[in-house]
Amino acid sequence: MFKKVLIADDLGSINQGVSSILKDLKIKNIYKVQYCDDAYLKIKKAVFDKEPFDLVITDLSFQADYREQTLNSGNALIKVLKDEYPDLNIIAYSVDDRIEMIRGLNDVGLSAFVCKGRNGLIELSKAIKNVYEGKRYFSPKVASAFNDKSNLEIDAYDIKLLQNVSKGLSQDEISAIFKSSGVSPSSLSSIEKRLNKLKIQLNSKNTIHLIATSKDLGLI
Amino acid sequence: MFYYKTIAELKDVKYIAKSFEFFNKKANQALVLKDSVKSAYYLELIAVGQFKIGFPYDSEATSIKALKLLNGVNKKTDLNAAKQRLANQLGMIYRRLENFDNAHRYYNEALSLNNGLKGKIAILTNIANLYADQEKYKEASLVLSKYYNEVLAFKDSEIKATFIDNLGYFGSKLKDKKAILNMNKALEIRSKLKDLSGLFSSYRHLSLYYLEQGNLTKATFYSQRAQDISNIINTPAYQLEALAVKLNLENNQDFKKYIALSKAEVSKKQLRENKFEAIKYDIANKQKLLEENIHQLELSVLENEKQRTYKWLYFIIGLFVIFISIFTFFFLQSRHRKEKLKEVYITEKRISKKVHDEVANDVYQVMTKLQINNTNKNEKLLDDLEDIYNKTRDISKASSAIDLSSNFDIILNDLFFNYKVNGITIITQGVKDVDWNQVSVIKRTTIYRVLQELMTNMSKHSQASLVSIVFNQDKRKIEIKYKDNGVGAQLNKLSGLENVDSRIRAIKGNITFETSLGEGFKVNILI
Repeated sequence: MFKKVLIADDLGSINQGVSSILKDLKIKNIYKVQYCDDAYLKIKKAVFDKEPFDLVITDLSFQADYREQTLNSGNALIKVLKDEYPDLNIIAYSVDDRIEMIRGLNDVGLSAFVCKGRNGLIELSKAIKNVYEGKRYFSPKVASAFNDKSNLEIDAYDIKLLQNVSKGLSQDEISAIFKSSGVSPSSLSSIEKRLNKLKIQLNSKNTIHLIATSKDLGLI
Repeated sequence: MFYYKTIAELKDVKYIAKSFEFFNKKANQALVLKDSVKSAYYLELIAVGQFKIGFPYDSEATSIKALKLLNGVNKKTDLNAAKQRLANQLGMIYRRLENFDNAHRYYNEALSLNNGLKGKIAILTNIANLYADQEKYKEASLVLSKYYNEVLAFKDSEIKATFIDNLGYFGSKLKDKKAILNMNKALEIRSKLKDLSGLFSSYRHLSLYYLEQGNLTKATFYSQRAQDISNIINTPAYQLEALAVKLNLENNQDFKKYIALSKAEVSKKQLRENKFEAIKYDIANKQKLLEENIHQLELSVLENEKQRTYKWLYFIIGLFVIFISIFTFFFLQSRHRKEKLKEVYITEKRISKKVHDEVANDVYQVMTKLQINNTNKNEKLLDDLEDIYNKTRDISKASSAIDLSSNFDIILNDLFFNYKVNGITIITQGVKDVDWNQVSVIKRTTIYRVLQELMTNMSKHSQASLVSIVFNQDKRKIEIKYKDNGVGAQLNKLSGLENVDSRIRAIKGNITFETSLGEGFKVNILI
């Protein structure tokens, strides 16, 4: 398990919760800071002393107070750390669970993201274990955004396909029409694949349900 | 100087022609040198000479030429003396030509130009002569007698002599007893001065006087003297006049008739000839006037043109100022609006952070404490706390900072993803087709917030299972169509969406809601 861990959170009591989890995981060398700048300096010094941290757990939102901070959010801290120490394991732990924000952190190489919530501490524990094993972890609530490969967006091709289906044309006939009018892809198999994808996207049980839903949404 | 004397004293006719030639050359030279004043002076001398030797219309032409030269001089230098001399000269010429109106005109002009008493007297003498010529002796005498005492105080001179002689002659015509005294006095002065033309005049007057008195001997005597003088002067005009006086003494009707006829004939001839010059001068004057008028007209046209140009200029400047003002007004208004919007978003962010940091975190803190204690009794309490926690977090999230640095279509996609829970299907169309880089930060923020609120509203109240959001870009306008298959709502109970409405209107967009109970919910936004 990790030997040396740094917790950055401006609320001591949350720190306490986190440290209780770490104790359960038999991690003894725990350091706590309440400012991002402090976290950065401590990590830098540890590297300098040749006793670097194995893991950094940080909140994202820090309350501004009388101390002027260079790094005033967990996001900024993560970006700087990942820039200087790409191999450093960082877990973000936050109330803010907006997917677009988490995607940004994912892009810079964040190891895990845990939503603060009812199961926050349990998820954090899982995250630490996963990261130790070299895996990445995202709370179930946000994981779908990364795992769900389906896109929300449907394109002009999809609309054309749905329109033809709604006219009662068979897949063979649609394929022929697409071929003659130069619409690509026009093969029977790709049309079938696309229809299945649309059924999943529109949460439809069959083709009839798909067309009904499309009509309801005014897509066709 | 010699030539000057020749003309002034009229002593030797032989030299007069030469004098004219000399002065003419001088006048032309001066003209070449652009010295109009000098040229006019030489011409004046010629004119005086011409008049004296009995060529009145030549003299007239020369005088007018000189006067024109002087009038052409723009300088404010004192040309009055020269002009006055010429005017006087012309007056005399016209008198000789019996053109009384013109004579009067020029004499009066000369008088108005003259300041000196002596000059005035000379002119007055001429004016009086003019009256006399028209046999208005009373007026003539009146003109002169006003100045009689002043003239008597003069040193002997031609002017003085002429004045006195004339006054005497007019007096004689009015049967004034003192007339003869004045005439003799004038004769005395003239003899002293050896003034030939003056003496001629005196002898003529005396001859006429004595003829009227019936003293034929004396009349004959003086007429003989006049003829002698005319012979010395040796010019036809004087000689003719002398002969006329002499013949007048002979009580012969044929002579008298002859004199009257010849005089009439001469005047007719002169009248014809002098018309030419006078007309010429008139034409020249009129032309000058015309030219001046044209010039004035051109000036005024130019002035008008100028004023019109200025008018246009002012008009354009005015228009420009108005445009700038309007532009500035709208620019400032727009900037003010944008600043206000920015302010709103900043305030929202601040409040969001406060809710997040101070409320949500505190609630979470309590939850954590309870969890650490790990007592199952607290489960119900934890559920309630979680509910409060989620609510606070949602409030915070509704206005938390948006990182607009990444692609906006991905940001929107992730936003919708947040609501893809509990079996809700969300479909978007055209998000990627909008050129988001062309959309201002404020508009993007507004779109994000509005869609966020619509989605939150949907997930809280609509019980919808299907949501579609369609984007269309038409030039600079973006159209967003939201539609769900939820329970819908009554339009008058959309209090939760007031924010959406005001946000869109703040950026001058358009939003319409379309819903009724059980009919789903439709929103059209045009930004």
